[in-house]
Amino acid sequence: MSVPSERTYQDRLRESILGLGEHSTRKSHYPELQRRLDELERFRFLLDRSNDLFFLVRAADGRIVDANASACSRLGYGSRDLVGARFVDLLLEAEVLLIEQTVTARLRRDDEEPLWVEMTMQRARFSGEEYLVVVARDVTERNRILEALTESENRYRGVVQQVTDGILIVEPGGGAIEDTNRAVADLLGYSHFALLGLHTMDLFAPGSRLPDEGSTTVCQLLRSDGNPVPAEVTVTPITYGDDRVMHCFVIRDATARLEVERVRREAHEQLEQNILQFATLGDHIRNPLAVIVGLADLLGTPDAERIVQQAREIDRIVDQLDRGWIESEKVRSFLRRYY
Amino acid sequence: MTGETGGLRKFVAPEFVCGAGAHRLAGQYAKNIGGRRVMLVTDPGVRAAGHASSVARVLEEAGVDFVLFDRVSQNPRVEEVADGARRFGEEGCNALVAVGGGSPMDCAKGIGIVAATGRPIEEFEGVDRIDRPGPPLLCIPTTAGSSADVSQFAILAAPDRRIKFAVISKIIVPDVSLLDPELLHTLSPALTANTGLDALTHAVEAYVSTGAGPVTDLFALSAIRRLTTYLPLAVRHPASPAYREETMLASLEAGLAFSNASLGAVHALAHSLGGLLDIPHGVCNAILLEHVVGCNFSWAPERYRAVAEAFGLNVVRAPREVVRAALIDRIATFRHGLGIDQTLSGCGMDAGDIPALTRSALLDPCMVTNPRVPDETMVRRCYERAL
Ligand SMILES: [Fe+2]
Repeated sequence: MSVPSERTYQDRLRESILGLGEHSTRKSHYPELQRRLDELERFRFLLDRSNDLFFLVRAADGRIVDANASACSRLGYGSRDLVGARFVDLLLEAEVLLIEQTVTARLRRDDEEPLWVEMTMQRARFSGEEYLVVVARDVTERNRILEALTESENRYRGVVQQVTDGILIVEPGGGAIEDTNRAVADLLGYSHFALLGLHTMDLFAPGSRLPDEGSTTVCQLLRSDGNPVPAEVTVTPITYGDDRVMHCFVIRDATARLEVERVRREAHEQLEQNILQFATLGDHIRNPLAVIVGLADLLGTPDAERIVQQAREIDRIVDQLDRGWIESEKVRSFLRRYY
Repeated sequence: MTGETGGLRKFVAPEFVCGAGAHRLAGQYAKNIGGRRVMLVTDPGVRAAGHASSVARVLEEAGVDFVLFDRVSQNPRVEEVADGARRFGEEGCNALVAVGGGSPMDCAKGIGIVAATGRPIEEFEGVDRIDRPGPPLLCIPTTAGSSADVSQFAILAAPDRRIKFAVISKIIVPDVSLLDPELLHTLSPALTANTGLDALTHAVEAYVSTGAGPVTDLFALSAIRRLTTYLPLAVRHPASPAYREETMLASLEAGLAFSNASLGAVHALAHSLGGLLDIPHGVCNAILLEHVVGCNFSWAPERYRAVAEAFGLNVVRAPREVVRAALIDRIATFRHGLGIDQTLSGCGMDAGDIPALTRSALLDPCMVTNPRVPDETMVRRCYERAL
């Protein structure tokens, strides 16, 4: 680096002292003002791009002194139309307006269509004057989604309510009943709302064990009038809401099924008894038959020969019957196995 | 000097740099005053002389973006101001650089006001009517006379109303003036004479003004001395840098004087006349000056004596009537010597115009500081004598 000659340095110093240096200009706030304006413009740009509606309202007269582009476009006004308007004239309907609280309101659009918003007001002070800063969020879309969700939920609820199996959503371990359907109410004789106030255990006969998770058990449930109702209960764990694990009880009335089972059981018992009687019948016949053959041998007459012959015929028939019993035994075990 | 503020004097001047090569600081100054995209206001004559392009080059070298606006006529019009202000906004300009004589500088002042306020320039006719500063204004004069580069005046024409009107406010005193005698070399002898006589009128009127003060007096008398010596030389030797520089300095002095002390009847009458006839402002002044001095003399005889001395007349002990006659004669001789020997009728004025001209002149703000409180008779007489 070369050292500047003394002459050049003196020249430059002289120039600077005379005010001819690069930055030597009388004080002016304009360049700084321009920078601030740029910042303001950038900020304004951001504000205008926001989906929320911003209003600056002078507290003294309630008039809008500034509004962002979203406020103008969402309400259908020109960019400067809102300035000077009274803010209350924009309000079609609102809850009580409180500072720093979010309220729901309807704003008046230029085409008279209401705009649903969620609105928050804050106090502000600029240059010694009181203002209200109003931030309003357009909730039209949100409301529409909520409506669609409610409709979808109602549809599912309708299905659940209409199925013939009872459904109970309960806290695991016999806790509170969270939800239920009409089939449960019909089966147990409660109203829907009465059921929601009960615990699972209230629905089971005293001394009953709760069915295990994942199993299907026939239980004795208690009707609201105190009478028991047999029911087949299947317990399935489900996720309910965001993160809660609940139990879903699917309940089917077992009264009719148990009746059918009883009749069938009785028929089986009768059948078994008949077969057993039948099995001893051969022995019962063979004993007197042996006596007849013995007596005939003592006679030693030709007629005795014929009596023995007939007795052997009877024995053959009994043998045949015995073999028939074996067949019947097979039938019985088949019946036991499959019915 | 009446009223509570009668004895107070205020002096407002722009930052100015004078000397050969001053215009080359335009880029640096445009940046320092905050200019990012400047509007370069000029007129076709100045463009033809190449001054606009040399300033444009300096701006480019400094990296300052600019938009050229040269639709300015000799007497800048309200519609030209409106046009310029519209473009100023559309182009996103934030500062003004005026290159030329009084016309582009006055137009630039108007553009600044309209751009800042969004209101038509006619609304600001009169004194102290502007309540908001315009963008920074940097002036580079190419004549030595109008002193619009240092003054609080902007004179604009409303052709549909056939008048010229003044916008007067300290707010329109430019921020910076770069006075470069190099830019005067292309001035024709006639234009040198016209503008020089305008400057001389400024100095005389500022000195006898009821708003004159010790500071403006210094500048006014110095300007008169300098002009009486160097203006004829500059007209005769247009290429002489030394004479050009003297006329430029004289114009600066006269400008600082009249911008702060204001003017008088000569300018009031000339403005009125300028609305009717499209004749150069300097010529109007030159024709009227001697006649107005005649009418005013008795209301400020000692001031006029000092003026006469500045003109080089040895009148220290002369009786007032002698001073009056000598001064009037000296002024007349001076302008004739510079080739300005027209009369108003020669310029197209008719005796029938006088009543209307008189009415309009009496309303001109420059009348306020005339040493003699003007009346219709006085104004009419001045026009009649100059006819
Ligand atoms: Fe002038």
